[in-house]
Amino acid sequence: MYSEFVQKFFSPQTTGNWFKDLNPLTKLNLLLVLAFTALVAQSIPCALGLCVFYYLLAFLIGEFKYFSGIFSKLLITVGLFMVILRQFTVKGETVLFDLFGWNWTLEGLLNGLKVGGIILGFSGAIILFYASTEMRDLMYTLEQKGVPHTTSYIILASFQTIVDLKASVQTIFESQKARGIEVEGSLLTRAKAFFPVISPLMLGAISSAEEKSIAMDARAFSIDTPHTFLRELRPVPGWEKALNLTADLAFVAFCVWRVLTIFVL
Amino acid sequence: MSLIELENVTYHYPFSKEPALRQISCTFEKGKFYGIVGENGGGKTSLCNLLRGLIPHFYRGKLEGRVTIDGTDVQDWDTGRLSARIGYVFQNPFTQISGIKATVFEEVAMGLENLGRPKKEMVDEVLRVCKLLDIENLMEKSPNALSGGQRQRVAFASILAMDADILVIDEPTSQLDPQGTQDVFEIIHTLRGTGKTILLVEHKVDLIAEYCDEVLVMQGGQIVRKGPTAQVLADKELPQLGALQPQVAMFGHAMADAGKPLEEIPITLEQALRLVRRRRGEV
Repeated sequence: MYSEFVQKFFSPQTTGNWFKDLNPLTKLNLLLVLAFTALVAQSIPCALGLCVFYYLLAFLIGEFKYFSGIFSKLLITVGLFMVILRQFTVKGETVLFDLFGWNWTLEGLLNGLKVGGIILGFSGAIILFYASTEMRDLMYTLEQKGVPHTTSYIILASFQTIVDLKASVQTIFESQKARGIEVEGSLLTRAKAFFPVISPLMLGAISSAEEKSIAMDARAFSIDTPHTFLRELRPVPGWEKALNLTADLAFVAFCVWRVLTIFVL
Repeated sequence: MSLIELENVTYHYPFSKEPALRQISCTFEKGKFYGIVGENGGGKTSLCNLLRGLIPHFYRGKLEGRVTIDGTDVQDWDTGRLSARIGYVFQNPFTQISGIKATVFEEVAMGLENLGRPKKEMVDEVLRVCKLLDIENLMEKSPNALSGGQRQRVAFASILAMDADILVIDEPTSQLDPQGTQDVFEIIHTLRGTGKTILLVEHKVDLIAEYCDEVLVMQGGQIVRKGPTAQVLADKELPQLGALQPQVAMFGHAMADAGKPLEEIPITLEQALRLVRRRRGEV
């Protein structure tokens, strides 16, 4: 008799959340449809609606804190940056106000909001995908679709390497601090402390990569036998395929409508 | 026929003028436990890399002589197949974790997934190994959150789960704290009774003295001594060969030099106590 933890491996891995339990490729497809909708629509209300929708969806899947932490920062920085940038690059006639002799125009503001909206509509979908999908699930699905085992490993390991490198930087910084080297303070101080760290960090990473590949070889990674999976996802149900198809068709229809409105109507 | 045979093997790493291994000829028998000791840079890890097939498949370089594993030349072995046959645990406990699995249970099962084992068999084998190495309490934890000693235990479990006939273990305790080292000692003790062919590179000669059937001493890329553990570790010249000697063996030599020899040179504490008691007429 297996424990509850072990028993879980005999059935498809689910979280109990309808969106998270969608096949990773379904999620990717649906979110990419939304992302490209923002791109094709090029409209402020559409981008705004998408942003609200992303927040709502993040809340519904229990990832509001993670999503809003990243997306809100992006929203503020990209939004502000685009609005300011477009005041320089877009010529307008409707002056809203004068700031130290610099005219802020309605055209520049709207253009900034539109471009910012496109970027946010696109990036929100990507952040939401990462918030709702475990990378190993995505790789499992891709492997099922024929992506080589090595490719999926490299992608997964790369994500882990980012975490490992961050930990290594921290360790090196701690060592530097112990030797009396200033690593905290102004941007310049931090930069001066960071550059000498790069070469030991890179050399360490190369050495680790070599050892890791030996470790993977020891696990028969390169054997030509078809691999099996301890952890499996549920098969894609018919309704999910239909949902995918509907979303794709709706997007194609939307694109056609947009082309018609721009060039014909 | 021997399980592994080396015949006049010399090996140069790429871009290296000096050979890492020189004119090595020896055999390894099935089911025996071999200890490999010697100075740093003596060729121990290179020998492990050779036996594991990493030389010449991973590290190219120049290999002369002949290495056969189970009758097949190492050059002809497919690396994937060889890894299923020869398990390899090495020094760094941090790079032996795949980094892509969320739990220790999945980490241990990774090799079996690669070997294409059915799920039921995989689960049973992982449970068996976790129980054997006493890591059942770690099964649900993230491998990335473990200590060095715990990671080394998981690395051992991952290799044992694959049920290779031969295990090459290269300085498994060199980067571990005392508790981690103790954990590995316990694993070595467990492995002793599994009937596998084991090659253990280790500086802690007390461990070698306790478990190994035979010992090889390496110096300058050569095997300078090979023979039964008691004979090699009791050799008075061992320190000159760059290897450490068990303290009890040094004590035995000191007793002999003082004109109070024991019946034989002990290599384990238990043996030394027995010999001293016998000398004192207590037994």
